[in-house]
Amino acid sequence: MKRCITIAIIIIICFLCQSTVFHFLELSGVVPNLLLIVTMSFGLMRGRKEGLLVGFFSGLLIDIFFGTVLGPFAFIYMTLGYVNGFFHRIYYVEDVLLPMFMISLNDFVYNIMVYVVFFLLRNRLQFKEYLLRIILPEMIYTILITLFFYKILVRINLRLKKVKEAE
Amino acid sequence: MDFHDKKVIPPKYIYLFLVCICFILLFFSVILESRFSFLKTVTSAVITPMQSGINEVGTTVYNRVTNQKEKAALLAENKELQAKLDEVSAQIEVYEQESFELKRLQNLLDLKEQYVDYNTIGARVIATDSSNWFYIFIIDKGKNDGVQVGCNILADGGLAGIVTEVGNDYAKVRSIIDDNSQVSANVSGTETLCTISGDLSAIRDGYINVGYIDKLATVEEGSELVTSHVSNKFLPGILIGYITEVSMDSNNLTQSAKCIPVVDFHNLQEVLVVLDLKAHYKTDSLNKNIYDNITDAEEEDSTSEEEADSVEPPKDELSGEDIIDDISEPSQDGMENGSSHDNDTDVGN
Repeated sequence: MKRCITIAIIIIICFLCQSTVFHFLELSGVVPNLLLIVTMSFGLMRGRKEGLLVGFFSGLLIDIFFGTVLGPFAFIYMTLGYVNGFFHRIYYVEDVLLPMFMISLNDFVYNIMVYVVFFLLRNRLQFKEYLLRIILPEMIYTILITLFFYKILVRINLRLKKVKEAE
Repeated sequence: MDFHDKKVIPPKYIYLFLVCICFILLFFSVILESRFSFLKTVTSAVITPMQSGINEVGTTVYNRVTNQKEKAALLAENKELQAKLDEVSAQIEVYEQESFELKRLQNLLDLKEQYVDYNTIGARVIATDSSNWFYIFIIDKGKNDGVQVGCNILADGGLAGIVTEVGNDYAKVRSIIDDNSQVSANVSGTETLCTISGDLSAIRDGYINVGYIDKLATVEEGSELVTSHVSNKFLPGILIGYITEVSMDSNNLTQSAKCIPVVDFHNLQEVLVVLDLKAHYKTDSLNKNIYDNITDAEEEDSTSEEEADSVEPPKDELSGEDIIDDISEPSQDGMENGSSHDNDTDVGN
């Protein structure tokens, strides 16, 4: 229960930051994808089930606020969270390389999916433009943010575990 | 390792179940759009005030930081401007006299003013799209303030976007630089029509695409683009931007160009919402503005009753009713259009 509430608060805070103040921190016109970091981290730290649930609700929040229809972002985030859960087996707390690698892969796949669903299907074929102007900058910026943000999430996770064990 | 997964349902079933939910949501939100509005209402009731607050704090901090940087430059600029102000205020005096004369002459010729005063309210941008792919933003005025779907949004004296969705205290705005946006426009002062379409890769270079200009039309670089009369969503005569780089299309039938928007989409903080909808807007053959007359008609009625003698009251009433009938029909059409074609603004894709 405590875990649910904590995660819900994390998701909402990330969403709020991303849609409001992160706008002022943009580098070369892109903002980092905080919700994706949260989805990836929980998938990695806690396994498939939690990854997909966190992803589903993060995506749904984006759909509700900025989508014209409900569903597509929820699906993309959930799938990513679920796939990340498979790597829970090789996860250990001190490892930094795995999350870095995972987030770059995640962000890349996420952006490719968004491109295909929302742009390629409307005959926007200049993939190289989008790759250089949005996908790669966002990837790099997100990786940079992950360096700090992931550590915070790991600490929160450990704290939650301790609370659970104490009970 | 996975012991917390084992005692409950295996994750792959949860995944499949939620995938189904996603597609059901997708399906139903397309078909029964209105039924899902409660979901948006509930979430936005929680999230919007928080966004509003955080944004306020963020904006203040951001402004303070940038203010510090710009202070020196501004002080220098202030001195310059002060000198200019004296110069200009002398000029204004002259213009004021001229405009007074213009008004007098217009009255003489029985001409109506070309530009209409729209009913507007100010609004604050409280959230922008969280991904890097779209240019959608949310403002803090909604149904309670009279904002409707299809209201035009102005900023910096130009067209910024259009409302695509309203809640009680918020409205979602798709800006004209969004990849899905299409606006019908014409080159100011000429009859040349064209279509302005937002393009994600173009806006990164600071312009929006202008297409479908007639090949015989001569369009000068630097001329103003304004919203056209043929659009059914955008009010006519609103400045959009300035044309650069006109070129002939490869099909040799149309020309295309680039347009530098007047609105600074990077730093959008306050916007102006035009409460009048295009569907209500009409001009008759005399180029008189009927929209103005709805409110004016009532006022005129009351004044005419006071003046009583010279005007014939029954005729006045009739024309008033006619106008209202005229207006109510297209407004319903417009509303339906607005809700069903959420994505194409104006001209077909």
